[in-house]
Amino acid sequence: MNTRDVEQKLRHVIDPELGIDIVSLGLVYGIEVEGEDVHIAMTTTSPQCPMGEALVGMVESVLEYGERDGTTSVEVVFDPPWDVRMADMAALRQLGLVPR
Amino acid sequence: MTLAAPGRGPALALVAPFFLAAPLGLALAGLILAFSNGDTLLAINAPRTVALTHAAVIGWLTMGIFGAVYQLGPAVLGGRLVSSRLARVHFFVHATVVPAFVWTFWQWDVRLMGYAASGLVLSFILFLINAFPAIGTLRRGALPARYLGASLVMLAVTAGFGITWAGTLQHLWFPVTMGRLAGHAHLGLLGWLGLTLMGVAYQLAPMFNVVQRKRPVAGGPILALTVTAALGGGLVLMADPGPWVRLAVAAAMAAGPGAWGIEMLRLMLARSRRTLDVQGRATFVSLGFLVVTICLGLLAAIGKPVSPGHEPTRLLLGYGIAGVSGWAGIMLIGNSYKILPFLVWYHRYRQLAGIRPVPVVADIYSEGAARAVLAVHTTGTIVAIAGALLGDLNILRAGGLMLTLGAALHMVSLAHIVLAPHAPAPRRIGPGEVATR
Repeated sequence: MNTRDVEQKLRHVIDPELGIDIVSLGLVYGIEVEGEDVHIAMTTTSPQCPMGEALVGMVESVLEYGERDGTTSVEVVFDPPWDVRMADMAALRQLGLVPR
Repeated sequence: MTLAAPGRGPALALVAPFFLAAPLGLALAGLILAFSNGDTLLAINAPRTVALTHAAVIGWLTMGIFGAVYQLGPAVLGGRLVSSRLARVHFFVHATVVPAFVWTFWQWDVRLMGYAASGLVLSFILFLINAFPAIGTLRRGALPARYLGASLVMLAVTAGFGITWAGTLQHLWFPVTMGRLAGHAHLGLLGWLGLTLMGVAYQLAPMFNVVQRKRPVAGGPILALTVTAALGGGLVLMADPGPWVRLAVAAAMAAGPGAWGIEMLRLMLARSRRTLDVQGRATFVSLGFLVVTICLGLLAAIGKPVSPGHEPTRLLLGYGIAGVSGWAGIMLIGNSYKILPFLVWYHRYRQLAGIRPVPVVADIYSEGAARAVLAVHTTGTIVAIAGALLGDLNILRAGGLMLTLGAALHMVSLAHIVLAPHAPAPRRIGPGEVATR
């Protein structure tokens, strides 16, 4: 599994409140793959986001699905704080920031 | 920094009953308004008006706020409940006492009023035992927790005066003047309801509407101003002051919510989530009613010279409806469509998310139904205010019926959120569904 595969899997983690996947939202800050081990650095839209804990669990579930032997670690960071400009065009469109 | 942890919050079965029962209080208040008689437009302390006020404030808004505090405190503010069982007992005590309390006002049975008031004080004590630890430490910078902490103190003060007034109605220790009623009412409306809603909005409005480019800048001073005005103003009103002092008190009481409204508008206009859902719409509508409430409140403080038909009761009634049903009520209705669907998602679908497609929060409630509730309730509120100001009993009654209809729709809509199965909208199922077992 390479970083691209991991990113593809993370696109299936949908922020339950916004209905947009975490990669499109720009919540994934880093993906490191060492052999079968995967380390994710991610953030939430705000430090008080009540979905934060759930998002971490969803990332772990998505990455641990299947027959992979390695470990998954998820680190939640708030530096730099998430900014809506980190989201891609599709997410901005869904948020209503650019015309559909 | 730690993540907010909804897992620390109570079970869905504990919180949901508060939200489901709250619209019953609104329905009751609407019905009482629908059965208004001539006294309603002539005396603000008429039995039916006092019954109406307590049904709306304690039966509807306070019931909903109880549920919100039990959920948001542990889940978002980092506190925890002393006892979930105590919270369950609290629900049954409150749900039992409120109808009895309202009935004693309707009948103006001062003996039973005292007993019911005692039951209500018990309900508040049960709530406060859990609520103070639930909102966590009042650490520096945690605006919502500071607002909620202040509002809980104001609840205790309001209840203290309330039971004293009930006692003196029965035992005739001293007269319950219009000023004393006004003081008690404003301690409750501004001190308890106002501060709670303002604090919760500081937490939820920026979070759900993705507000990042602006931050609250005056939350602390607004809190200090509002607490001072509610407490000081409430006590001054109890001395039955003259019109100029009343006006000064009204201006002081309006300053905090007014400044908060400007701050909230500033935050909402800077939101990154441009597409408004029902909570966002409700926030704007509620802010509109805040403006109406402040204007009517200032006019009511002046009294007879500016009152339609030289009848101050009409202004007072319109002011009360705007504040309770408009500002506070619509804010609560909007937030119900965030708090309850989130709870259902968290307790039912969190474990499945990432394993198979699950609904998102927006799939758990019907946006159409929620908008219908908002529209009916807003219209009912406007009609009722118009009926009060025009002194037209039929329009006032029509407003009451619309509020009851809105309450019924709201209750069905909330029950559907809790009880019905939910499915993810097709557009949200990812391509390939690699995560589906």
